[in-house]
Parts: sequence; C-alpha cells; structure tokens
Amino acid sequence: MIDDSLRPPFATDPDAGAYKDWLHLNVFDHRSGAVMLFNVSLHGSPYDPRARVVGTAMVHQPDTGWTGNMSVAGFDEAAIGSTSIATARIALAVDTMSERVLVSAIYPDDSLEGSIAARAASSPVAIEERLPFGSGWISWYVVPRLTVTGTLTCAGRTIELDAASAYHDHNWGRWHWGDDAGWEWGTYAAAGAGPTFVFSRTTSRDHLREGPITLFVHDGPVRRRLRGDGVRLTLEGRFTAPLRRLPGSVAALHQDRVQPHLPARVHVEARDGVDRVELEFVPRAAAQLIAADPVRSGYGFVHELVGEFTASSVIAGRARTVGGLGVFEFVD
Amino acid sequence: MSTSIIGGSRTVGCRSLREYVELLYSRLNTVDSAAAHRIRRVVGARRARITLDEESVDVYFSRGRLHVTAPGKGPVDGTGRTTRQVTLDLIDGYLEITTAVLDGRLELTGSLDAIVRMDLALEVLLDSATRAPALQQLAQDFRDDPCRAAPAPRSAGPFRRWTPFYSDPPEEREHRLLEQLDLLP
Repeated sequence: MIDDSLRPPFATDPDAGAYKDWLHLNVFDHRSGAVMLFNVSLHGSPYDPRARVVGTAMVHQPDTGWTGNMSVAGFDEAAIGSTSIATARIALAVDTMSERVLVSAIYPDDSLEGSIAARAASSPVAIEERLPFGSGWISWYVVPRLTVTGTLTCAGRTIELDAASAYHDHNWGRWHWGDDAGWEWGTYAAAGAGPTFVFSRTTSRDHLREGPITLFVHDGPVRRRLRGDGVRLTLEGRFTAPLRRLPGSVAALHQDRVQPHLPARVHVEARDGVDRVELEFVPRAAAQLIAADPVRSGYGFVHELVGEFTASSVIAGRARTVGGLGVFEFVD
Repeated sequence: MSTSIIGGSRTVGCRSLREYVELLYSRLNTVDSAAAHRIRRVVGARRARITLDEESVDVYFSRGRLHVTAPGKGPVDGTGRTTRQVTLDLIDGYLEITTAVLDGRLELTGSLDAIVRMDLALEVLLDSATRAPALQQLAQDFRDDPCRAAPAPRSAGPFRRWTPFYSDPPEEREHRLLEQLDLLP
C-alpha cells in the first residue's frame, strides 16, 4: 500500500505562505526512447488567492524534441483531494489502495494528450524527516519503479506504453522560490524488469554547499540505500543545446538564464564495502521549468535533463551491466 | 483543504488592443500599486506606439494616469510592433525574446534609452504578473478572445535556428573561440 497524502497547512500555520506540495511521475518508454514528465504542484497558502496550481506535461522524443507545456491556475480552478490534484489540463492521482498513479493530460494546442496508469513494482521509500531547504524544509515520498499501461499521443504520434517503466514521487515542505536552495536529483530506469537507480541531495543555490547524497537501488525484491562518503556524484562538461523554457512569459523575464551551466555528463560512483554502483548518464535534451513564488518576488529554475544511461553494479553479490533512460534534475 | 470544481464557466468577450493595454495597467495598479508606480517612473513623459497586427495605439502617462489613444500624427519616443501569433508563441515558450527580435518578429525602434525603458516597464509588468491572478487571467482572455485568430498549432521544439542578422557563418576557428568564451548565441 502507498501510505501517503498531500500535506496542506492549517489556516493557523504561520508558514502557510511558504507551502509547497507536488505529485510527480516520470515515464520511460524503452521502445521509442521517449522520456515523459508529469507534475502537478501547489505553491502558496490554500487560503491566499495568489496561490497557484502548476501543471506540467512534457514528452521528449529523440527525433522530434519536446512536446507539451506548463499550465498555471488558481486553487479555485482545481480539484484537490487528499492524494490528487486536477486542473482543466492535467490531473494526477495516487490510488493508495491499489498502489496506482493515474495521469490524464490534455494539451491540444501543444499536440499532447494521454491517459496513463502506473502500478507500483517496488516498495516505497518515505523520507518524512524535514530536510533543511532554503528558508524552510522539504520532505518526500518515493515509489522508485512502476509498471505502466496507457496511451499517449504527442506530435502526431501514438505511443503505447506497455513497454514503459515509471518513477513516482511526492515532495512537500515550506520554502520560497528564490531562497538560497537547490538540489541535484536523478532517476534511471533499465528496460524490462531491470533495476532503477535514484539519487538525491539538497544544495545551496550556487551548488557549492551540498547536503548528504543518497543513492537508492531497486532491483525486484532487492533494495539498497547507499549514502555518505561512499557515494560520489560528478557533473562533467557543459550541455549547450537550446532549452525548452516554461512558462514562456516568465522565461522572457529571465534572458540571463537562456544558457545555464548544465552538465554534459553525470557520473555516479557508490560503494559501501558490500555493494557498488557505477552509473553514467548522458543527456540529449533539457528543459527549464521556472517556478515563480506567488508571495514574494523570487524564482526557482528547475532543469530537467533527459537521456540515456549505462550502469555497472554488484548488488547482493550479483554483477550486471544495464542501460536505459533517465532524468537528471538540477535546481537553482 | 476544500475541493472545488475544475474550470467553471467563463465568458470571454472581444477586446480591442486599447482595452487590453488599459486593463493591463489598471489591474496592475489595483494588485501592485508599487509596480505601477515603478512603470510610471521608468516611462516618465515619454510616448510609445504599440502595434499588434493591424491595430495600433499610442500610450503615455499624464498626471499619473495612463492614456491609451488612437495613433497620433506627432512623433513618439519608441515603437513596438509584433503579431498575436508571436505574442502567443512567447507566452507558450515556443519563442525566445532574443530570437523574436533578431528575426524581426518583434520590432522595437527608438533611441537606446527609449528601448531600455520600454524593456524595463515590461520586466516590471511580467514580474508582478507572476503574483497577480488578475493579470494571468487577462493573458488567458487574450488567448481565448473570440474575435482573434486561434494560435497556429505547435508540435515540438525548440529548434536550432538560423538568424539572418548574422549573415556570415563564423569560421571554425572563430566558432571555437566564441564557444570557449561562451559567446555563441
């Protein structure tokens, strides 16, 4: 069972204005190479009319590039349940009892439409502790690997998702966009019933100060959590291809962010004396999703880099080399 | 947390360019009077002409109030000209401002000082709009305006582009140097 729910603040919460909460699903279609991002997020106090619901549905196909867009609405224009957020364009719901994550997206002006059901294929990881983040804190709940059914139509092509795998997480907390905060996060899914690798660490906004990094490995019934000095994340080179930047009106305000410093390769090496993982990710495309704080003038820049990875690992005494699709997220 | 109905019914009427410009400023003044004040200070006594497709208006401040009039015969300090499609492409993230300017799809004319001030006024407006639902609603109304053409379908992007502004492609050696200095467009 997925034991999770959105965490809205009480009206009496003095930090309600810094409230953030979102449901996220990545889908990796190993057949077509498409990488998909679905996210519905809540920003600001539910009791403040400036608070916003932001929905994002984006698909990257190797031959056509990015399809999809971001939509922004008020809380009064959305249906918000205990484990679901729905707007006119995108809805994401977690069915906790059947361990499914459901997505519906309709962006006709952006050639994207689809309906997806993902079922948990690994046990969840709950990090309920309040990790220091900017002026506040952040927590998360992760289902590293899910199987997928559904169909997506994008850029005039219909993709059947029966060969796809997925990743789901839920983050919540209190901070303001524009705080001295950032993070580095990645999820990498091998094809078929292969393993999923997930790492994450919080950072300062300039990424010079780093929190502890954790790497999760989920391979069928086997799960490992490697952390501390035994895990090393290295960002190499510079990614220079043009970015899809959303929302466009806010991107227009930030011309200095057209070519941010993003890595051309991501390398993870982890060992704890028993298990070890060496993973290399090469992004093929990137998007910049700009989060505007609804209460104060501040912006966060969420960079989504999508591409291919290879990983060599020895987990529970089993050595293997796998490849697949992944996402690296760089936030500042 | 309360649950509400998605969307709800909304009636969108036809508006002229003049009405959109007047509503932009009046709504900004209502929700963020400090930002409206900054725009007045930046613009001062200057006049600008805004052209969207076939519609044009002159805008200026007088005694702290915005005036939006039919284009006069007198000179203006700066002009901005674009189309509805380019505006929607910018809003939807299919076009960068720099690209629009370099490709002639967004024309700004005037002295350097006048252009910088037009840009500053727009920046103040865009920044405030992220915290102003009434302004975001106006953008949605513009998109849904029944008297204006629906946006052309866009399928994917971004695309590498060729800018006629740079008529001669740089030589390989020059390209490497520009790349090294992070100066490539």
